[in-house]
Amino acid sequence: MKDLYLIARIAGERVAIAAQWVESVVKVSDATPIPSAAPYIAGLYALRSRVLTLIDCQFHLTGEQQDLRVGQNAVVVEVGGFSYGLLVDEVSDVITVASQPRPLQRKLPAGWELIGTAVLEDDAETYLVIDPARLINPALAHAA
Amino acid sequence: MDDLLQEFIAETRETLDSLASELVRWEANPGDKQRLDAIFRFFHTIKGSCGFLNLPRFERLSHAAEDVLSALRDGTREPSPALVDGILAIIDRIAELIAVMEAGVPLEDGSDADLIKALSEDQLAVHEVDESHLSDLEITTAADEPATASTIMRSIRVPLDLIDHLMNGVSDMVLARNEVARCLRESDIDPALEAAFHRLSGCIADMRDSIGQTRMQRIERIFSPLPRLVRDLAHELGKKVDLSTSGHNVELDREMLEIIRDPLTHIIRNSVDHGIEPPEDRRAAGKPDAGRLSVSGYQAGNQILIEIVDDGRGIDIDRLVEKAVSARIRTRAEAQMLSDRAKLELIFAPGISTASSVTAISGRGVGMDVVRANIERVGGSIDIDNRPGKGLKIVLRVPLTLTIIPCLTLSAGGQQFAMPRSSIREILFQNNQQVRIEQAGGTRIAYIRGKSLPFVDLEDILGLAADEDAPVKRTIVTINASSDLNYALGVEAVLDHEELVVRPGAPVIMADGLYAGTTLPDNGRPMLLLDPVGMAKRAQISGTGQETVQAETSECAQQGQESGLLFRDRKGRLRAILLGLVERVEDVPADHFAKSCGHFHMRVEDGTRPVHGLNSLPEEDMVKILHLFDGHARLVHAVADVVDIVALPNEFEATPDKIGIAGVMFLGDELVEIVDGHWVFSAMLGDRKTETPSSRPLCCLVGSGDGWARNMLAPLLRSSGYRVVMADSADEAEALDADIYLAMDGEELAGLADLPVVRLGSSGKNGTNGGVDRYDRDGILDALRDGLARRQA
Repeated sequence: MKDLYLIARIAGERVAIAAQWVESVVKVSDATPIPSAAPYIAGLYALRSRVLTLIDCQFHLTGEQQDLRVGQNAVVVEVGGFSYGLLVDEVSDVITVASQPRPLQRKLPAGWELIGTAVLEDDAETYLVIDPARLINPALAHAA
Repeated sequence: MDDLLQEFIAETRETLDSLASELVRWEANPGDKQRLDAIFRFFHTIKGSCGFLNLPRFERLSHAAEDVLSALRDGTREPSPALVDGILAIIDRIAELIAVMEAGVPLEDGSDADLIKALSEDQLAVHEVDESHLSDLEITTAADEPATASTIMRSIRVPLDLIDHLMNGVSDMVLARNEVARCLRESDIDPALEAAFHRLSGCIADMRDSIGQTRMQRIERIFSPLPRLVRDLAHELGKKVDLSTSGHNVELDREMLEIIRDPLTHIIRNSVDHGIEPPEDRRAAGKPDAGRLSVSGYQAGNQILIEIVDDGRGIDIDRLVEKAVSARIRTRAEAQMLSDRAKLELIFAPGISTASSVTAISGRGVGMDVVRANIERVGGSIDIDNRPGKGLKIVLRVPLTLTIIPCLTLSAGGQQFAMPRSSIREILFQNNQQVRIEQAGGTRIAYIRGKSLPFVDLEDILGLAADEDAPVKRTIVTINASSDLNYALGVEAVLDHEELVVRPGAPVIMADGLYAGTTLPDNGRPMLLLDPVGMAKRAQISGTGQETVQAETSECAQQGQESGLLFRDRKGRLRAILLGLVERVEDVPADHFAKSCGHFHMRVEDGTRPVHGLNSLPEEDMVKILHLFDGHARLVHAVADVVDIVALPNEFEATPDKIGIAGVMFLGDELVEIVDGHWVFSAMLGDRKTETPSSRPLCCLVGSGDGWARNMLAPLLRSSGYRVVMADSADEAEALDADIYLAMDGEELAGLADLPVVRLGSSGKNGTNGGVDRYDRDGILDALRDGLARRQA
C-alpha cells in the first residue's frame, strides 16, 4: 500500500502522490468561487452531498491563477476531516514502486520547494513526491 | 485488551457524571438505601474491572470508597459532608485518571494516599475490612446485577465517525433520489415503476429521519453534573441552594449540547454566586434559608428552551449602570438616556461584572458577553427577566440542530450567498424615500428613517466586481451582527428564504472570517454562508453601541409625515398601514389559526387574538402576520407579504365608500390602499374591548324561561352592544334595575309600569298587543333604542 503512487501532471511536470491520501479522482466543472479567499483556492464543488474545496495546484508553482477547465481532473483527498479536490492537468497512471523515495538532495526552486518532500525513482522515470497537506496549506512547509 | 480498556474508559466516564449527582441526592436523604446501593455498585464494578485490567490505582481508590460506603450501609458510620466530600474527591481523581488514560499516556503509579486517608481520618473504628465480609458483599451485588441490567434500554456504542458517515450516505441517497425523480418526470413511465419509486422514496425519507435521530442526545447529559456543581459552590460560599432540574428527556443535537454546556454552567455559577443571597440575608428579606434554583429544558417548535430561574436578589440595575460607567462602557450621560431594558442589556457588555467582590467562582473575566456570543453564534438567543430582590429568570433558546439554519439567500456581484436570518432586521429598496445614503470621509452612511448606520456594499467587502447585468435597483439589508453591532449592507437582490443545511468549510475558507460555513442547496451548487460579524470586521465597522438617532429631525417628522408599512394582503392587493400600529412581523405556523363563528383566531402564548385579513383557513405551512397594537388592544393581520416601509402622504384621496380603507395613494404607478386602522380594530374587536363593558346598556329579558329568549334573542342583543340579564317574571326583573326591559309575548308586566319596556309580539301578530314582531331584527333594536332614549330624556 505504501508503495502505491498516483502520477499526475501539475504545471507540465509529473508528480507522485502517495496513494493512501487519494480517495478518488473526479472530473469537475462549474465551481462556486470564494471571494477574497487565498489565491490558490479555486472554489467549491459539490461531489454528491459533499462539498469539495478545490485547490489550484499549479498556482503554487507559477504564481498565476488558472481558470478551471470543464471536466478537469481533481484528485480528491481528505485532510483534517475536510475533503479537497486537487486540480491537476491530468492523471496519468498509478504505479507500484519497489524502492523507497529518497530525500531531496538539493534545494528545490521556489514553489516546488513548498510542496515537494522527496524524489521517487521508478525504472527510468523520476518523480517528485508531493504532500497534499502542503498544497492545501503551504504554511505547513515553513513549519516543517 | 485494548478494546476492553477502551470500553472500560467509556463506561466509567459515562457513569461518573450521574454518579456524582446520585451521591449529592443521597447526601440530602441519607435514608435512601437504594441510592447508596447504586453508588456502592459503581465502585464495586470499577474495582472488579481494574483488578482484571491491572490498574492498581483505580483499584486502591475504588476499594477505599467501597469500604466507606459499606460502613455507611451497615450503619457503622454516619454520613457527613466531610465524608461525601471525600468520596466526591475520589470520583474526581478517577475522572482525572480516566482522562489521562484516554489520552493514551501510561498511568504513573502515583499514590492516592491523601484521598484515602481523608476518608478514614474521621473514622472512629479501626479501618480494616474483614475479607470474608467483603466477599459476601461481592456475591450479593453480583446477584443484584442481572436484575438491573434487564431494565436498562438496550444500546450499543457506535463511533461518531460511523454515524456521520451514515448521515452523509443518506444525504447522497436523497440527492440521487431527486435526480432519478427528475429523470422519471421527463420520460413516459410505467405506473408500476412509478409506484416502486414512490416506495423507495418513502423509505429513504424514513431513513433520513432515523439517522437524524441518532445525532440527538438527551439534555440529561448536561443536567446531570449540575447537582454536584451547585452543591460544591454552595458549600464553598456558605449558602444553601435547592436545585431542581426538569426536562431531562428533551433531546437535541449533540453538537448543540456541547455548545450550550459552558454557557449554562456559567449562568448557574453566576446565579449561586451573585444571585442567591447568604442565609442571613435571605432571612432578613423574608425568604426561606435555602435559595431555589431550577433548571428546566423543553422543546418549543424547532427550538429548545432552557430556563434557569432563581429566587435570589436579581440584578441591581443601578449598580449595573454604575459599573458600566466606571468601566467606561457608557458615559454617565449616555447611561441616563437608556431605557430600563437597555440598562439591563448592559449585563452583556464586555468587561462587566455586577458582583461587589470578584470571587474565584464567577469573577474570572468570562462574562455574560461571552455567553451571549456563544449562544448567538449557533443562531440562539438569550433573554433575561429581572425582578430585583425577587429573583432572575434567564431563558436560553437554541435551535434544535446546529446544522439547519434559516437563511436568506442574496446575490452580489452575480454570485449567490446565504446569510443567517437571525441577524437580518430589515430589507429595504434603495430607492425607498426613507433611505438616504451619504458619503463622509471616504465611508458611506445610510440614513434610514432618521437613524444612521454604517453602509457598505457586499461586493466591496468581498472584493467582487459589480455585476453589470444586475438590475439597477439595489436592495439594502440592515444587519444586527451582534448585540451592538449594526450596519446596512447593499446587495444586488434578496432572493429567497430557505432553511439550509450548513456545514463548516475547510479551514482555508473559514480562516478568512468572512464565512460561517458552506451549504448545498437543491440546485446542487455549493453556496457560502456569510458571517455578519466577520464582514463587519472586514469593512472595519465597529460597534458604536447604539444606532445614532438624529433627534426627531428626520424628514418625515419635519413634514408631519407618518410612515406606513407597505404589504400585499392575501388577495394580492397592495396596501399600507400606519407603521405605528405594527408591533412586529412574524411567520406563524398555519395550525395556530382556527375559525369559529365566522371569525378567525390565532393562538398566542397567553390566549387568542382575532385575525383580520383571512377569508379561509390558510393552506400554506407558514403565514406571515402583522401584530397590530393601538395602545389598548392587540390583533393580528394576516398578509401575503411585507413589501417595504414608505412615507404616507399627509393628504390622500379619501374613499368614503370603501369600508376599511381610509384612502388611496400612488406609489410609482401602483395604487396603494391605505388601511383605516380604526376600522380594523373596531371591526375586529368592536364593542368588546374598545369600550368598557359597564358603559353598555343593561337589557333585561323578561320571561326568559322561554328557551327562545336565551338562545336567539340574547346573542342578538349582545352582538348589538347590550349586556343581557335574564328574569323569569316581572318581579324578578324589577329587582335587576336594568336600563331597559324586553318582555316576551304574554308576560305580566304590572310591576314594570314606570320602567322602559319593549314588548315582543309573536311572529306575524304585530298588532295584537302592540308588541314588536319577534323576527323583526331592526324593529327590536329600534324599539330598544327608542326606549333608552326616552329613559335618558
